Amino acid sequence: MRTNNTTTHYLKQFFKPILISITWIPVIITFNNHVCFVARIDGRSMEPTLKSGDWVFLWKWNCTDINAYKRNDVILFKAPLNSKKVYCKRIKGLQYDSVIPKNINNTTSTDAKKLVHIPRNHIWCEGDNVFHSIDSNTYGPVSTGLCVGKVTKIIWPLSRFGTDLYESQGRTNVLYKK
Amino acid sequence: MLPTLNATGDFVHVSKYYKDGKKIEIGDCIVASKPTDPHQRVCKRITGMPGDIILVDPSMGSKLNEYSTIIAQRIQDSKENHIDDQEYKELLDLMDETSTSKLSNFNEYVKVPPGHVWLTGDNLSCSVDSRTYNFVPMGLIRGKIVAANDFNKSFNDNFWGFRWIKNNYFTLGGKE
Repeated sequence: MRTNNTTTHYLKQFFKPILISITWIPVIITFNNHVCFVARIDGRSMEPTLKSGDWVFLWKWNCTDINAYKRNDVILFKAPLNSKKVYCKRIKGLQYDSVIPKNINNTTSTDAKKLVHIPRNHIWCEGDNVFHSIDSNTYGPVSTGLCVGKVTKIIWPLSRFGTDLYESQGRTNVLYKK
Repeated sequence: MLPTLNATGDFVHVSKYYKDGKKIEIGDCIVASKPTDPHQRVCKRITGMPGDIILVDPSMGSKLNEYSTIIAQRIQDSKENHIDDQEYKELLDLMDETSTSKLSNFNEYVKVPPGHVWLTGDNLSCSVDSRTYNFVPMGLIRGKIVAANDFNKSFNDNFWGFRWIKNNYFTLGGKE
């Protein structure tokens, strides 16, 4: 009788922490899906701000809300032409902006027909590495419903921890001003 | 979506396996975020897959269009009430403009780009769908509707009107 008691006591001591840690798994998953997460950057479209192989901190809260974004924020969004891929780009235009696409930039044309007018709840995204980037110049404005999160910090490699993400901002004079 | 789903009181069962347009087929009912307002979700049927060529909606540009009929009514009224020629002329111009050039882009063929789908509601005359907000990227698809309940009905009536939502798409001469 006495031995039996001690075994149950040991079992309890052993399983209780495991059970408690298991109950936290759904909490962590929901937190990672909706509040914050880390992501690895692949490809060179965001050089020199983000290099291939960097790990970044991602803020996901309210990420489909257009009011959460400013121009020149770096975001991650699902690729419009392939829903399995996720792209990292810089916001160059918000809703209702008029944007001058890349291919006509040199001609200094401000003809209204060549401008892109961004619809409601859409954004214009471009990579910092203008010549090696597939961005809104290819597939047009992106709906904010595709956004996955906002990049707030570089966390790896440690030598570049917390580098200023707004130092180089890619193509300038994207917005059309009258 | 009126013949398939009720206007009010219907609840749908959504399978998230089909999220992001995974293994989705033409004719499936899906739930997606609205591209122009991601907080809203829409319930639509897929009527075009990547690479399909679609005629947008010729009935929108015709003289039977609602806007045109309103103007036609006003022309009729102005005839009866003997309104001056200037306004009558303006109304005629307006009718010409709306019936042909301005709305004619509804009478056009478009090709669905890769990674996008064309969505339409089942109740075509009262549906805001791809004809208004264009192709929808597959990343906005939240899931596929597999079944529905009608909570206007009682429990005894087939478990609150439970029914499976099937893909009843077919092509003439058999399924592709």
